[in-house]
Amino acid sequence: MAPVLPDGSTVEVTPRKIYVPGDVIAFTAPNGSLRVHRVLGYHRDRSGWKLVTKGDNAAWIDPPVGLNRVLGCVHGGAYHRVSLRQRCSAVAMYLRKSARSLWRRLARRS
Amino acid sequence: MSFGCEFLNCPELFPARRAGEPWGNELLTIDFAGARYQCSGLGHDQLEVISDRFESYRVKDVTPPGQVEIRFHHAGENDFRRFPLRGWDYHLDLDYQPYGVRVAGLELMGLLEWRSDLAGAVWTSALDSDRFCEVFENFLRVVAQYRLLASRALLVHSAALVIDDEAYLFPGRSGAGKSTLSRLAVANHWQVLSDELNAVSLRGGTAYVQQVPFAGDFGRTSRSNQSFPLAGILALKQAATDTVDPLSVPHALGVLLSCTPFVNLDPFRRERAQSVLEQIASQHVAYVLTFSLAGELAALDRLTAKKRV
Repeated sequence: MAPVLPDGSTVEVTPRKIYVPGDVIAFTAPNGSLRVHRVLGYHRDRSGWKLVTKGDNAAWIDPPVGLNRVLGCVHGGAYHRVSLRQRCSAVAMYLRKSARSLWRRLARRS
Repeated sequence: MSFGCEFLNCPELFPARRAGEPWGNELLTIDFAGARYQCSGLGHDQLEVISDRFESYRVKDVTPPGQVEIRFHHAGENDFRRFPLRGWDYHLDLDYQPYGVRVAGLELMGLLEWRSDLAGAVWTSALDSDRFCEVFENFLRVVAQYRLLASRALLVHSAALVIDDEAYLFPGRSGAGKSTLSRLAVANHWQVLSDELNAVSLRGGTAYVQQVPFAGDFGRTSRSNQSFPLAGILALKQAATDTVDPLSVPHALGVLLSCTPFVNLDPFRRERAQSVLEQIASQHVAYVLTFSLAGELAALDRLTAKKRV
């Protein structure tokens, strides 16, 4: 989440039942490292529901994150409140991703 | 420790040839840094997640000559060792051979061969899309490094900044300060190509830097396929002051070689990699950039301003 949260920042994390687009969450990556990225939406595959996340400055969306790997929602510390603009931007990014995914499926079928 | 013991239950059963049961029939072709990679044997979910990850690098599935084929196969969960990942630093185990390279990693067995052209195969038990993406990306890094080497280019662990349409390369291994430098550069409104890996290629005696899809948290430009001429190599050193000091060619070569993953340990292909890096190091000025965490890259600013004058 650099430059908002530089590497090595200390943050507070609170587990939640539901995460909404725009929330910044901490989770463990498949390689065991800790990551803090923003939630864009949800993704369902054969192993269940997962979160779609992305770093604010990253060029691409992360692989979907299993809910069992989410530590919680980040707040406090160097992080400020999530603004409405950030939430709208997360939703817009998720809709773009979903549209691309739908387009790919249609292209494969045809 | 012999090859694969850390990751595989039976390393002696490592596949001898590129064959096996594919995950599915899906195909994906990606293109970056002047090379194409055709990935086949993917399942539907795997294709979806890889397509999202490499969206801006996808191209139509055509088969031009020189394309690298990578086939994905199913492997049993019992083939791989399980161990706690907390505090574990991700790495791969590579076995260099004259005919190719064997790769073992977390839920990953990979084989890279030079039969007629470069071709790869992966065996994994990673069903979850996130775990599969990790396997895919880590093997692709190895394949890309060898494919680039064939065309006198290399992936270098580095941050790269673009200032006045020229690239400055900051090679450094993990913890050297690449992300810190990138953060300071973004604050200075400089374009960051990547804070993790960049492709450096030699064309007509000039080195160019290009973004690859292995950027870290920086590298916001979704796809910058443009090559930027290399203006300077700056080894990183964190200290309380901001200075730029000259670096000799042998030292610059040493820094570059230590930051060139996979091939720098390959006894069969290291010489070629070294010759590419020698040419890059000898043709470009190299410095040691000392910067502080709270600094504003004042020394680098002065250096680039001097160049402009």
